[in-house]
Amino acid sequence: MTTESLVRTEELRIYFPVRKFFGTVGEVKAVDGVNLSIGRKETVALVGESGCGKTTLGRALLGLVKPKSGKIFFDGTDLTILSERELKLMRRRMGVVFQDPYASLNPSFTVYRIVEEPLVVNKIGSKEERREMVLKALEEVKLNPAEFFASKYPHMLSGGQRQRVAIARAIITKPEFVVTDEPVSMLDASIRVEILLLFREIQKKHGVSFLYITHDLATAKYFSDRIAIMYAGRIVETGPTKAVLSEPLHPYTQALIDAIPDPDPSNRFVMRKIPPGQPPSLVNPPKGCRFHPRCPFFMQGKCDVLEPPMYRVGVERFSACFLHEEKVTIK
Amino acid sequence: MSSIIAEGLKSVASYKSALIGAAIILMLVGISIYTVAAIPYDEAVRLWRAGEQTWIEAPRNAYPTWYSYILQKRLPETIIKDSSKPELGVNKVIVPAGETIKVLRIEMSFAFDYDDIPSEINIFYTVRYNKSAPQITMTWIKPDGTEIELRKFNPGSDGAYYLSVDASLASREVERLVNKFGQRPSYELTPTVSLFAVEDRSILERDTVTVMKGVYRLSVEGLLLDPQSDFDLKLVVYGKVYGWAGTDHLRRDIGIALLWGTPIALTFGLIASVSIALIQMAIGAVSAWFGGVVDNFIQRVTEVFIVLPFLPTLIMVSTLYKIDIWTILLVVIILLSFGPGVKNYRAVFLQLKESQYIEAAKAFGAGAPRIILLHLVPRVIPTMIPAIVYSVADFVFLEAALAILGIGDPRTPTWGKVIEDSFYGGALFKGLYYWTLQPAFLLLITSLSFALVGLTLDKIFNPRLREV
Repeated sequence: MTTESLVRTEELRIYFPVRKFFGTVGEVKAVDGVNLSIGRKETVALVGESGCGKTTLGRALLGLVKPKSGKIFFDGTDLTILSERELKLMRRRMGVVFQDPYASLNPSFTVYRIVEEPLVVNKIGSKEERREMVLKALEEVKLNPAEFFASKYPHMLSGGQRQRVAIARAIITKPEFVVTDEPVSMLDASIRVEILLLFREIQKKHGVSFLYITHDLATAKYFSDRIAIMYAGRIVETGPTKAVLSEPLHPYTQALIDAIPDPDPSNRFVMRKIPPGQPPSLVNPPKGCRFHPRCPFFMQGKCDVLEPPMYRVGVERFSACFLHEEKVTIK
Repeated sequence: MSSIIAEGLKSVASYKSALIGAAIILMLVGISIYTVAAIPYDEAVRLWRAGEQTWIEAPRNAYPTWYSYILQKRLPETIIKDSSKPELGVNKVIVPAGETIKVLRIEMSFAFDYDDIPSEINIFYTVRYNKSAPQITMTWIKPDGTEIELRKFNPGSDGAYYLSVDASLASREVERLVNKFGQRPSYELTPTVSLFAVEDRSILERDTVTVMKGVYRLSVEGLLLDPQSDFDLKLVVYGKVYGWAGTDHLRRDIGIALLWGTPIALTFGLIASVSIALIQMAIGAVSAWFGGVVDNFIQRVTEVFIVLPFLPTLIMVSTLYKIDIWTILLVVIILLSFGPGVKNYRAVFLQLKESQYIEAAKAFGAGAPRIILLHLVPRVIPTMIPAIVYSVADFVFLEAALAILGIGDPRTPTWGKVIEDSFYGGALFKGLYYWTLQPAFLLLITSLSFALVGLTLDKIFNPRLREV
């Protein structure tokens, strides 16, 4: 991993206690030993099925969840040991765009106040300066005319427009790093591309790093430079998006790609290989490789005992599977 | 937020029931403003607590004046004649009749054309002399010329002659009637009746007694035995109606209590409902936001307060400590601060707290106070406003209920206090309906108006109710 990374996690573990009455009866291991790095001006897609911990990982990178162990470096500073006050200062350099544009905007604020709020909170600029910045941000996310949209309430806007407001709010503090948590999954297909194009434009203009959390491989391919596949709280494969998607190496990645519906009518009767079973419970995940109960290449006595390390399997490519053991050297 | 409220107000106007309610509330507010301006609070309390001396010239248990219109007959109003204040129909002459002796003559006359007999007659007199008290004779002259000697006496000091309860006069009157008609009246004749009734056989039966209309006179003759000696009297013929609201058993004008009850009821209700709603919401917000130990503690305290029986606790507190109405208000607020509302608001906040826009606010660095005040609280205000308006009526009723239970503030004139007085004064038993019904009516329209407005606000702020 490059030293040039802006955000980097080291053996990050985030457990949530399961409470019953007064005692803690277990822990949900939402993120369990994740090493991830995101370079400057890079877009990393974090892909996984629902409940695999990708959103939790995204929230942890923003300092919104306290990890149980491990480190999160942002521009060389470990977020996990910062006080709440210092964390607030760091958060000014980050932004977030959530999945649900209907829930992520305060319905009792006007668009102007929603976008202005981060500036007010962080005491940036005078009133006039802020006004200028807000209108500029609205123009940047293509809410034209900005003055017109600024006076609207969220309920007067469409889903796409709301998501643009959310983006404007995320970029108004000129962040270096933006977490976008499934930003297009609730939008119409026609608007998705526009939003993703907008992200790309913003990235080009301001040199922002993106963590693009999604379960949609198609948009990940469209938007990201690098991809990280997550399964049951762990990252199983990382690499350049195009390479990973065209030549998946981890059995789970392969299964994911196999599950993409094939638009070719001639293949309509071909049975697709879908891994049997369901994702494991994060309270009590399987021993060894988390994917082993569903894996077609399951090796008795190995996969269910040892945790597979990350193998370097190519240029910038890593996969956590014992299948690569003979081919490559340990990272 | 302000535009939402403006929109809300606009749509309130489209509901007729809300307009009626708002009109009543405005009227009550108008009455309050008038009352506070016209009768200062201390003055009202003084009048209310004054006792009989202040109200001595007002009739006891008099009906409101508008009873005359309902009963279609002219009920007598109070007539006061004072010999020290000469006016038409009042004459006072002192003629010297020797070296030291003077003859005093006071003539008072008044027209009486009401349809009912007065409730009471009193004569208050002042006297001045050095050695010997003057000799006074009072004579009552009815319009038909019948002369009745009331009393012959030497007033030693200032005093009052309670004519209506003069037993010797009563027995003399009965004797006079026996001589005239050869029959005793079939009922216990009081001087008030015999002084005002028509002098025929109808006076012998309670049901047939009729009022003699015309000019009555009170003639006083006296011998002033000292040079400096003087005598003055004030005749008070008490009517059966007084003011717009009548009087109670202590001759007090109920109107004062009804007027002052309005601002007190509104203030009590509004302060209680607004502050309880705000406090409960604040506690709920803190509980939901901080969670953990704080939440646990607040919830347990709330449960204790919910289990505490509200009314008995309040009765206990006001029995142990003699408290006035504003202390009662404070106790009510304290008792209800950790009320069930805390649980409701906490539930709402727990849900809101997890919403993404709150997460976003945290992400860009907003602190807890800012998030609670700017992002959470405004979201519950739409549900709070109708609830507050509704509960105003509850607290107005509560204040009245406490007064009726006898644990209200005895000093302050309130609607509940009037109802309590009427209860102990046996108002309904004696047929003095106005005494109970007027404050009850005011309570009723107050709660009705707030309910009408609250219902409408509920419909506007919670649109899902509109279909029901």
